[in-house]
Amino acid sequence: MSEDITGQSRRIDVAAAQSGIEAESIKLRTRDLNVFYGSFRAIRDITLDFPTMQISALIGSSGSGKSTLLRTLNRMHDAIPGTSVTGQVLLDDQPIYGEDVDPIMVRRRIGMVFQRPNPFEKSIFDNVAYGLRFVGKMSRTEKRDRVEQALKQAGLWKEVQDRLDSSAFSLSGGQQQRLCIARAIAVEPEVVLMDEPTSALDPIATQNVEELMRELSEKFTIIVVTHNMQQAARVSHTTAYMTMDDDKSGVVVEVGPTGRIFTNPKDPRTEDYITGRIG
Amino acid sequence: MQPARTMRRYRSRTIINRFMLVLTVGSTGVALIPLVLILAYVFQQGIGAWDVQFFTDSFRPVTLGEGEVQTGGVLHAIVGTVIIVGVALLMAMPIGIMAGIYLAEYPGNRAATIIRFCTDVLTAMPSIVVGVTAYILIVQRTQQFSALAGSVALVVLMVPIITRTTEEMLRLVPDSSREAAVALGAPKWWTTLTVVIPMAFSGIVTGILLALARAAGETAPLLVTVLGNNNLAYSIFEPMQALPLLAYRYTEQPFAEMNEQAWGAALLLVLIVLVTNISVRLATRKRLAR
Repeated sequence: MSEDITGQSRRIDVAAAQSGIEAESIKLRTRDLNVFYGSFRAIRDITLDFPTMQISALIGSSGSGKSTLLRTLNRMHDAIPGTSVTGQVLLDDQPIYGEDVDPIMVRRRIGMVFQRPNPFEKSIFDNVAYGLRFVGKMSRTEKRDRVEQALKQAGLWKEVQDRLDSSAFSLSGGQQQRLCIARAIAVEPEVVLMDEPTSALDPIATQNVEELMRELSEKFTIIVVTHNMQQAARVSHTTAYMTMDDDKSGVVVEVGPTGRIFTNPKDPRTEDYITGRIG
Repeated sequence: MQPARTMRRYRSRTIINRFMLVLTVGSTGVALIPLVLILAYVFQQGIGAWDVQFFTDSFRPVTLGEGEVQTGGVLHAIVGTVIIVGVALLMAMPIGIMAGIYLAEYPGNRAATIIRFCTDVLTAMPSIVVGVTAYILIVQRTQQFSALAGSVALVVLMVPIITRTTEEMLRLVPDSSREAAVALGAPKWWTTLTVVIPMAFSGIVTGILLALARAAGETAPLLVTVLGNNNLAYSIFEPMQALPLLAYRYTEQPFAEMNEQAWGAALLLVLIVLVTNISVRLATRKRLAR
C-alpha cells in the first residue's frame, strides 16, 4: 500500500510542477479516484492535490462530477446504496478509504457546507453547538466560548448575539448559510468542503460569504464547488476545470493557479468554458 | 365560418364543464350525507341517556314491576376503554415508531421490503380475525378472558398505522438535514434521534392519534377477548367492559332503558373519536404553519 502511494506521489509532483501550483504542503490528495453509481462511472481517474490553507475551486458545467468528487472527500457517499469508490483519498498522506478507517472520524476532520442553507430545527446556539459533543467533553462555559468564537469567525455574532435562543429559521437565507458555516467550523475541522455555498443566496449575501471564505482560508483548507466562474476567480488560489467525457463520466481537464487558468488556459476546452463559449 | 365554429366548440365545452362541476359537487354532497345523518341520529338518540348517573355509576339491573326504574351508568365501560386502549397504546407506540424508523432510515434492503409488505397486509386484516387469534393465543392458554388479551389484539391493529405514518413522516424530512448532521461527524442513530425525529414529531403524533381513534372504536376483537363486565374492574388480567362492547351488548337487551344507554355510549364514543380527529387536524396545521 505505501509503495503504491509513494509511486503515485512522485507522479503527481511532476504534474503539480507542470501546472505551476506552488504550495508549502498538500493537505488532501486524490489518487486515480473513481466513483460509481451502480455501473455508471460518475467520475474517472481523478488525481488532484489540494494545498494546505488555500482555497481550491472546482468549476465545470452541470454533470461534470464536481459535487460527486467533493462528497467523496469526506465519505458522504457511504450511506448511499449502490455507490462504490476506487482509488484513494489521502488526508495528510493517510488514506481515508482504508478498511480500518471510520468514516465518522473522517467527517470530524473534514467538514462540509451545502448548496442550500440547512440549519436544524433548533435554536441558533444549539445549531452551532450540535457538533461539539463529538469533539470531546467540554464544560458549559467552554461550549459557550466555542459557539461565540465560531459565530464571530462566520461574521454572524453581532447579528445574533442577543437572540441565540431563537429558532435558526428566523434568520435570512444569507444568515442561515453563515450559521451553517459557523456550525461546520465550530468543531474545528482541518478541511471545509463547500458545495456551491452561494447558489441560493442574493448578491450581497454572496459577497459576505466570499469575504468569509477568504478569512477562513487562513485557518482552514477550503475546497469549493461553484457554477460561478467569477466567484472562482475572486476567491480561489487554485482552480480545477472538470468536464464530462464521452461516457458522461466527470474528468479533470486542467488544474493550476487560478490566475493562470483564467488568463492563460493551456487546454482549448478550458478556454471555451471560461470565455463562455460552452457551459 | 371560422368564428361560428369556434363559438360552437366553446359553448359545448362550457356545457361539459358545468355538467362535470355539478357531478363533482353532487358526489361530494352524497358522500357527506351519511356523516351528517349518523352524527345527528346518534346525538338525538343518545343525548337522552346522558345524566350525572350515566357518567358516575356502573351497571344496575333493571327493576321490573312497580317503582322507579333504576338505570345505572357506563362508568365501568369508560374506565375499561381507557385502560384497554391505554395499555394497547403503551405497547403499540414503541413498536410502531421504531419499525417506522427502520423502514424510513434503512430502506432498500430485503428485510425492509418484506416488513413494509407485511404491514400493509396487516392494515387490511379484518379485526375479528385478529381478535380470534388473540383468543387462541392468550385467552385459551391462560384459561381467562382478560383486558390484556384485548389490548394485545388492539396493538396488532394499531402498530401498522403507527408504523406507516411514522415512515411517511420521516421520509418528508429532507436529506439535506440528515447530511448536515452526518457531515459534522454524528453517528447515524444520533442523527435520527436528534435531527430527523424532532422534525417529524408532530406527524408521528398524528399517526398515534389516528391509531388511537381506530382502536377506541373496535368492537369485534374485544368480544372474544375482554368479554365484558358489569362491574367496575381495574385489573388487566380480568374481563372488563368497554364502550363499543357495551353499546353492542345493550342493543341486544329487551329493556328500553338499556337500549337508550347503548345510544348514549355510542354518542360518547363518537365524540371521543371526533375530538381525537380534531386534535389531529390541529397538530397537522401547526406542522404546516412552521
